[in-house]
Amino acid sequence: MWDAFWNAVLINPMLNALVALYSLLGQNFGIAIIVFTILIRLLTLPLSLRQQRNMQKMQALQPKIKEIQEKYKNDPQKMQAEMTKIGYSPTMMLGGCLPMLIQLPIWIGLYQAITSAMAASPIDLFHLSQRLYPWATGLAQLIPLHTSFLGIPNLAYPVPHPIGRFILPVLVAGTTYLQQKVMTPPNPDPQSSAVSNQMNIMMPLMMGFFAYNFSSGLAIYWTVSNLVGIAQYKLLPILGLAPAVAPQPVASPARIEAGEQARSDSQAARPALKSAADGRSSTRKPVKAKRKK
Amino acid sequence: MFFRFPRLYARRIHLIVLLALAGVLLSGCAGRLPAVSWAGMTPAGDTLYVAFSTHIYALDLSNGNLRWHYPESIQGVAAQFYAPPAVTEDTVIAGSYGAPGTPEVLVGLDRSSGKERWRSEQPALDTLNTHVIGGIVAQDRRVYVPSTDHRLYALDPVSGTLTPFFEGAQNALWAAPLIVNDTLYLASLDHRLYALSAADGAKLWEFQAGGALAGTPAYADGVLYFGGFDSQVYALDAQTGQARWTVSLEDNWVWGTPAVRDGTVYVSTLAGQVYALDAASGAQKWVKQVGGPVRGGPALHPQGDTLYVGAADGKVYALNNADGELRWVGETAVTTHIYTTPLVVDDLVIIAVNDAPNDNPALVYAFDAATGQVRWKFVPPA
Repeated sequence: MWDAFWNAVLINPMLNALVALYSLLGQNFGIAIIVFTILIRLLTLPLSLRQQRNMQKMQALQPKIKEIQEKYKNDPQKMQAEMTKIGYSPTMMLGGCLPMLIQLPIWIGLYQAITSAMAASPIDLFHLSQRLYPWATGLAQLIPLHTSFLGIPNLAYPVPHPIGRFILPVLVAGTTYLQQKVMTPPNPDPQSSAVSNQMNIMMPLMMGFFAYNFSSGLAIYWTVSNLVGIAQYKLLPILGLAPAVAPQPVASPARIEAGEQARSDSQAARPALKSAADGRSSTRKPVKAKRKK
Repeated sequence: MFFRFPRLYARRIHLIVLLALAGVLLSGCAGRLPAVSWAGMTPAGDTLYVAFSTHIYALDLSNGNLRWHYPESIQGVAAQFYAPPAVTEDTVIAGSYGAPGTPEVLVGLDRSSGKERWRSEQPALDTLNTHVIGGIVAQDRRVYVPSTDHRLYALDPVSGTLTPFFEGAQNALWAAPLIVNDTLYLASLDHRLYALSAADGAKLWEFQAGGALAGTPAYADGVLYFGGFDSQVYALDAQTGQARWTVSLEDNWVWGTPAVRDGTVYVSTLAGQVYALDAASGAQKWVKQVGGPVRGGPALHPQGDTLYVGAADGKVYALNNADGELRWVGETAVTTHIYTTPLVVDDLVIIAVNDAPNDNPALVYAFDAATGQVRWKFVPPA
């Protein structure tokens, strides 16, 4: 039941679009994967922007949150009240995760559509036959797709060359690392930062391992997706379509002296947030400088 | 505690992505080896030879009892076998479906004991992209092996040595070759049907179809009948390759080999339809919808007037070949799928299933050809 829904709503439309694109692009499946990945990235751009903005907001609040956590670590109720004052609410977490969670099925669908279209085995080809729309004239005649690309004999398999087989995994791992590096906001907390750095190493290694063992078509998809993600993150602020993400100064807990001062901090934080959301600047002045008149 | 969560925001996001990705990618790796194709079955004498996954089984045709299986035990990475084996006077020859990490092998087994006579790991074959999917065919001391590396090989059945026999196809060969007199007919996913000299592999003619050809053609009275992924059924003059007629089945891919008898061609489709066409003109006599896609071809009872198809809904359908009327439906297990062409041997209709459930892990079913009752089942040893 769930499989049928998933296939009908996500996989099959993507699969048919991918095969149609393959037809339009001179029956080159490598180019079809690249173009389709870029198109899907563009379609999910509003969600990515929202995620980027939420991340920026969280980043802007991070020093204040840290200060409050340190200051009121023995008084949870007061801590919650102060958090509310600076503009933080638990729904911000949801706002940050939600765009990513909505995108996740789309990426899984794209992954499955690419795998299905390559139909490397008889069972795969049988399933492909059930997924192509019968009214989409001409798609069936394109099967099996020509899956050679840039010297790779078959995109459904890893590159059959002892040295060449490492090229795509290295690209996947490298671009994954770069994307992680670009998109992970600097974390003032040394412990969290260490964990984050560790993840930034582990994730690329894992993706490289997958790329080594899975089809080269998927490795191309991962590489292109990472490159587009990096470009999107770097270019959109320049184009004024998204806020820039910049490192935050690490605030000292000593800078907050009393609850009243925290209130004035929250008032100061809001314009800074607005400014960052407008894409003008995300670097705020140190908290103490704004506080006293 | 609640307010510690934002501090771990980045770490949580990474973990969610990591776990989700790992789950998706590794979901196919868990549990037993997933089947990439369906069982290849070849009856010879009183034995049924079945190639499926990591084993080749020899079964007693009368009761389904296991006579031997190859290999006796699996150590390390095992080869997988799906192509119907070829059976010579004393040897069973099977080709593996090599996946990355597994060797591409052809094995020659003693027909009575299953002991390995020779094993051939061919360096000539591309170790990543070569599979034997179509049936291996043995005829007159010659053995032909179709491969996904676009080549048809000739095999020495004594030594296991492979030599390229035909290298003119532009795409994979998924169908067993058909040999009629001195001519070998070979369907390819490159949309072409090739006619070759069975002696030396010289191309006699080729026919361009509108879609991939994954099934072996049928032959009757000087005419070849086959269908393709372009939903067309073709009738060609076997001597010249000229089309006698072409019929469109709308959007119904044809994969299995048609059955032909008494001026009628029977064709099954991946949309779950069974057609009866006039062999001379291609005119439709009747069409019957069954409960699931039919990957394999239909099979006729040698003496009777019944046509059998196995469908992906896990059922076998017996139809009156005169009008398509349903005679019986043979049930397997709820979650199984049938992709094989039924074998009709004596009074048995034999099929193999995919995705057998754990509580009913039978691989092969033999139905009574007249009633559809299960006469025996074969459950592979654990």
